Amino acid sequence: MSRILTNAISAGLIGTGAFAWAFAGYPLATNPNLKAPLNPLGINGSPYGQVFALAMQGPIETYFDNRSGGMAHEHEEGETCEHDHDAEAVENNAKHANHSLDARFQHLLTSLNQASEARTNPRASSKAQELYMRRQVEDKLRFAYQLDPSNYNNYNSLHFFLSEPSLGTRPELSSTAQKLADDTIQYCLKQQSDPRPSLTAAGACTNVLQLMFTDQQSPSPKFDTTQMRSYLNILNQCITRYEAEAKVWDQTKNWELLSPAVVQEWTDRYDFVRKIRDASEEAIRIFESKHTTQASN
Amino acid sequence: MRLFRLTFATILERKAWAICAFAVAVLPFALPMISSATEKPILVQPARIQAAWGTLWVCALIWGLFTAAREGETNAKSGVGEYFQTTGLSATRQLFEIWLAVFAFVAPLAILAAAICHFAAGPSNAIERSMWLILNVQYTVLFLLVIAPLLALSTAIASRFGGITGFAVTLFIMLYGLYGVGYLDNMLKLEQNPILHGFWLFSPHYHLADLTQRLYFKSGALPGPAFWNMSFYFGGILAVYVGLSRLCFRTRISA
Repeated sequence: MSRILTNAISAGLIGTGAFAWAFAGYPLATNPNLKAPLNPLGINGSPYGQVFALAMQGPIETYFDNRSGGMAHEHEEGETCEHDHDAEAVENNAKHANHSLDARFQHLLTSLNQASEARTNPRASSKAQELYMRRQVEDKLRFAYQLDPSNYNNYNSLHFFLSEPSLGTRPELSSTAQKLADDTIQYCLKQQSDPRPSLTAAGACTNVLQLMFTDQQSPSPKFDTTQMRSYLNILNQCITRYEAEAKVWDQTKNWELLSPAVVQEWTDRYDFVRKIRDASEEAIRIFESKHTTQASN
Repeated sequence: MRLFRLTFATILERKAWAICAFAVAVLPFALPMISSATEKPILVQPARIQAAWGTLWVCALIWGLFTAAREGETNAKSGVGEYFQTTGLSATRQLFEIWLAVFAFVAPLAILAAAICHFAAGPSNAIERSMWLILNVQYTVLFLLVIAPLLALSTAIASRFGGITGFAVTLFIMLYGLYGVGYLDNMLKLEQNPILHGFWLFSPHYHLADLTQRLYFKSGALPGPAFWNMSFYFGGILAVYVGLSRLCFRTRISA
């Protein structure tokens, strides 16, 4: 085959290929039915995404701790800090001094980890840093949330961030938080054969109700009791669904696949959501009676 | 030092180092322009810090480890290693000279990133500025302590098992040490597993050497004892890798 013919074949292939590419590519790229959310390797919402979402808790904690200008500081939810960390560190040092090589090595790693996060700068964070860290926190929280929208912790962390004006960096916080809750409820109620997303959805309902109750304190409230009732209904639905699916898991012994600590965590969350539900119903009743009184006056 | 000069000249001639040098020198100034720092100019410095060290890590992990692997493979495959052995240059000496040639390109990149961070993103307060210098020096030392033995390991593995294996294995070790260890730790906090815990414990905790967060949180310099402990820890890993590299390195492909 002559050189000219070879080049002509190559040129022909490139030409027809480019034509087909451009001709077929445009309708494909502009077809709204083919549009899918950006999700590399389909990781968001997948079983792998759920595991990564759990693993994201650590980096989020680091950012929160740094943002608040403190050191790594781990406590149970609601627990206050009344002890001396330096004294504890000394005590731990003494405790670990006589242990095996394994324990000593672990202690070395833990102390190096703490030292790498400890703040030695005597000056507080500047405004620029604060702003940068806030943005980083929001991006990390959103990333963790997108990995698994039904993850109870990641949803609540992002909600907490968006609904706190002093922490958030975006202006329209309440509506963003409400949209997040609606999206989460919708996503979680689509999940099948797992009780846990129902409880995350229930958590989202309680968060929205909480926002609505706070809104009632403003001179011109945006939400009325009908809207509150509708979220309360969804909350009831979520709790009922959780109870039904939890029973199924009792029968299929699915709970046994989880560690006892995790099962206890979900039991505590269930109790917490139920208490909030009862309190919310009572609060709505008070608001309704207040409105009826105002209307009759 | 003939093998060092030969390897150094080869890498210099291939010119890929220029792309890395350009990236480390220019991206810290260019990337903030496409970040949210354009809306808020006070964010320029944190964005620059992240760009400088981030680019350095990427260059060292991709270009550095790949170059080290390629030089190790070429030395064994092309007969150069065999030739130098006949001139009396031992295998260990050859490994050292190849490593030194690659390191001579990676080390200036690290110093460049630290210098950009120090001069173009430093705080104005005097106390913070002195801490900033110490932290940058600490970061450079830890970074070099981490990357140096991996370059040697990459060369050694590549000389025995081929360039792709040398590069992929060391890249995996590095990424695992930087990020995988942290994720494994989070998993273990949720559910204890003695085997995985042991694996985690004796994993290379490279994330300790990544001080980028300290820089952009302006957390101050690492406390002295912690820095020396870290140096000792990474020195231990260095010794292990050097031992493994010496065992693994071949001057010619075995028949």
